[in-house]
Amino acid sequence: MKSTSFEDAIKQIVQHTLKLPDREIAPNTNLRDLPGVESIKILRIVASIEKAFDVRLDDQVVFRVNTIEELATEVGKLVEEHPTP
Amino acid sequence: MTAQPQTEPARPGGGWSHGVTNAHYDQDPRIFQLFLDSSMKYSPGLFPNGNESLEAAQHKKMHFIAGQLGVKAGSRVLDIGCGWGSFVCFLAKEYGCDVVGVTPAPRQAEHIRARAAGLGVAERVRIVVGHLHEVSLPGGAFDGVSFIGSITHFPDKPGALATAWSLLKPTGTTYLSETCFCNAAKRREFASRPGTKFVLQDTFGWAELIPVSEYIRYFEDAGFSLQGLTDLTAPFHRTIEIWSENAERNGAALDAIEPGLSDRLLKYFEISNAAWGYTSKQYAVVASKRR
Repeated sequence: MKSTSFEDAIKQIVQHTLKLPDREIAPNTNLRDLPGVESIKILRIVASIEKAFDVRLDDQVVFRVNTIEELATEVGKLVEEHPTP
Repeated sequence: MTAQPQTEPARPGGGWSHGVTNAHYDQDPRIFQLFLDSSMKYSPGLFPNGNESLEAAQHKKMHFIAGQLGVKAGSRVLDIGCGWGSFVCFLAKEYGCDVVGVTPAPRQAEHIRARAAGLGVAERVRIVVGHLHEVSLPGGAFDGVSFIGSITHFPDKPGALATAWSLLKPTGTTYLSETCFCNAAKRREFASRPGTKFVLQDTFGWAELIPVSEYIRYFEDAGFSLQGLTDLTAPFHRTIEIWSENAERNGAALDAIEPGLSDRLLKYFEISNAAWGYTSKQYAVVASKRR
């Protein structure tokens, strides 16, 4: 999967979790600047991503991440390290 | 009474923390009936099949705890922080145990006594109102002691476990389940975050999360032998999902009792469920007085 596909899938998770389906979110938008976002919402996004891609993100990513781009890069790395058999 | 100004202690141990902790549980029981199961058990159920109703999950959980304690008919059990008496009444009714429940909340005590009478087990249930360190209980008398999500509200956790040890028979067992920080580093980083404070202080008045390793040490220090540890994080996540659904469905009724209550409950549930596995865990620890 290309990095942009990860971005698209993650963007859908972000929109669904934040209930912002009609809003276009750029990959480099700081998630913490979006309306109604607090650290709890970021954790929920991370949990959905981990479930969707069957990965476990490092705490440094979980608690420090700001953009969809960053999340997609991290997920991409993990999926490449552990390709589906 | 003197007119000296009272300074509030920064840490619990003084009266205020008990007062406010008490207040959460001493609220109108109707509030809790609007999101808990019919037994009013305010702790995780067990969902071995994944599709249990909340009632069934709580029933399975109480059988699980009874099994962990190894109780049988006639066993004497002490439930410390007994809530609305789901486990106290369950043990008396289903296992024929003689049960003492301790709660600092007078409203909970009234509720349990009425419930035990309704179930025909009033003679096997005794409810003591007060804090563990204030009430008088017989030493060396109990086969089992349980702390089901209650020790988080005890400022002196090592003292509570030492008391449990002294109240048990030489072959007795203690079951403790609690929400914990994942580890010491998470505790240092998250203990004073707004989300943590909202749940522990604004919702419960006073509670303190510690890593499970601390509880293990307190058990050892009190003289217990450790018997087992169970991860209850996933079932608590599922339990809180159902509580949220109930609170959402009964939002108007909750807000009629207290304006804004449903939003506050839903926020507490959302924070709790977002944190599982990232900053917090739910564990059950079983320990015995046996050598």
